[in-house]
Amino acid sequence: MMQREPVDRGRAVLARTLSRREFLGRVVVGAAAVPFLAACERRAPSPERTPGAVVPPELAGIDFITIANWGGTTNDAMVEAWARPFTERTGIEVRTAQIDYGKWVQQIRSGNIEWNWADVEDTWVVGHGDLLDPISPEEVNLNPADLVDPNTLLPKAIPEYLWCYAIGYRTDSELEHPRTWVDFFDVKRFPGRRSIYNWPVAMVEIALLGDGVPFDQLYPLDLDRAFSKIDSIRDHLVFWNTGAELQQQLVSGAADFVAGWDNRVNLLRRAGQPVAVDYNENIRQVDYFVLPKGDPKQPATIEFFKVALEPDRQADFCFRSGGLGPVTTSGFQAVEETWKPFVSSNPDNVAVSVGAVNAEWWGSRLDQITTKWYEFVGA
Amino acid sequence: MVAFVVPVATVLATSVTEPPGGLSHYARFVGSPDLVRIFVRTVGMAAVATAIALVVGYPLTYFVTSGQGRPGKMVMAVVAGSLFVSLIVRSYAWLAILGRGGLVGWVGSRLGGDTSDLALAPTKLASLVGILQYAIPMMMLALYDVVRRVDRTLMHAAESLGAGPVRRFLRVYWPQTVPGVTAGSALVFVSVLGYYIIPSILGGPQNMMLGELIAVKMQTTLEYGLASALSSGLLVVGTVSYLLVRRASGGGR
Repeated sequence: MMQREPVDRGRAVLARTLSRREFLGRVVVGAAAVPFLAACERRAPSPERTPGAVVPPELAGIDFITIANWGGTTNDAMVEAWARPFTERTGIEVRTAQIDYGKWVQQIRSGNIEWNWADVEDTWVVGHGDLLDPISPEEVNLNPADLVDPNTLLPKAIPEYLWCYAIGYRTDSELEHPRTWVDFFDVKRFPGRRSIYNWPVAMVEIALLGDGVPFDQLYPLDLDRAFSKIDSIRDHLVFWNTGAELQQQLVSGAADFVAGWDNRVNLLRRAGQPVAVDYNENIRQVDYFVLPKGDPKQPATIEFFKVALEPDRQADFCFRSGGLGPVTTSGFQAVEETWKPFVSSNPDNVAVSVGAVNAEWWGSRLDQITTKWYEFVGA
Repeated sequence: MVAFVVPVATVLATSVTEPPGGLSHYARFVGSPDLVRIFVRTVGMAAVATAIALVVGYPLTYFVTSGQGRPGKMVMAVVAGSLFVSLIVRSYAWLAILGRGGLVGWVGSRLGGDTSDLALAPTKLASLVGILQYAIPMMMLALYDVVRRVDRTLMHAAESLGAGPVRRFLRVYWPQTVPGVTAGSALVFVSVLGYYIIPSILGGPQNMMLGELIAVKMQTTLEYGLASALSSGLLVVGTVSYLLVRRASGGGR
């Protein structure tokens, strides 16, 4: 199953245009980043049930579910690795949308649930338990002993994939890339344009690490100190808003180094781009399967989670997404050997990680700090 | 009328009723240096864009309407036609032209300059360029009909009575085009106040305009009260500036 090259629209465009190395070709690359503006609702596989498949009675009457995710290449991976097999087995169509925490909160609060599941982070889960219904490992056929990290299990959330922020860079550049967060913020010793995520979680952490704060003394986070550290390199800084934009900036040369999602950079590399990830001092996070409170389509969503958690589905998604790590040991083992170095949750990559984002600390503060962040960045 | 009044009233009401209510959202708006800075930047961008659009658009419209035949028609077709290209596509095209390793830097380095690392986007300047590409055609469309109807025989009459070119323009030509100038300036200023996709792509988050921040507050951080207060601020600036321009131009009598 692994030998098949994943079909990935954004990636194909990147590979095609950049091989020509024409400056105007970059227009097309730019266009590949467009979907983040057009909150795209794409239709995933058409419902074609595998003959002979037995559909559980509680799924009767559910024609489709809508899932919100982080778009671009991750959306493509999710559609191929999880949604397609789910639809083949159940006949239930899967529609996808670009995630926005605010919109989902609004949907759940108002009772008009459009997204039956959104690909949420640990930091969001901790602070929004009141919007979720409980879900247990048994319901999704998950053996907790099989988890890579048993601590990732939460009362209302099942781990989905393990990922990290790491330093991505161009391998064809004359500029030496920073290998630590201190170096990342040292524009004198490591000249070059940096790109960071327009989002506070982990970016506040790297700013403080860059200012010399040891990881074990990061929390409680000193926001003012982090902001002034970021301000100190503003002239060397651009921001990315979506994974597609991160990829576009690195490929077009708009940024020399990114503090970004490792998997997006790995995908570029696999497409033949001269880029790489340095996992040194990576910062880890976990994404989750959760159930929005009171959603009548929960049985179908749970069925979707079951499919996604099967070892070969975890491994397939890991490969297609560029390395978003399986949450189960059996899933990680199913990943092809040659791909294992590029998996966020590979023990070798975890060993060089500086640590995990403290979701507990962020939990209740996320909304408030996000507000401050956007005003700080914009001012 | 109802379709216009009801949404505006709702926004104004939300800005004072959303908890904690009262003028608290306005207080936070005015009390935050960050928010004030973004607000001032937005009004400044709109003012600069309007001024440049008028300075560029006025002579162009004169050219187009002064019986130049084919060249004039072509200019108008290009200008009006450019409005049909998607805003997002255009912004990304500018990004490719102005950005690092883009067309401008490439041409510069071919000409012997050290511009291969030049990054004109994302910057405030790039954002302005992108906005002007919208603002100038809008200004010209607003001016077009008014300028076209100017009675040019009056210019000959003034000339025969001994008025010099400057005087002819200021006393005879300009006054006849003032309604177009007023309408165009108001149209451009008010619409640029609300722009957010162009500055978001070409200016980056650092050069954010208020429209983008309002969108973030409505969709991501769910601060409806503050978003409404910010919107009301834009509404006030737009309305006041329109009334001022109208008054200054002697309209509305």
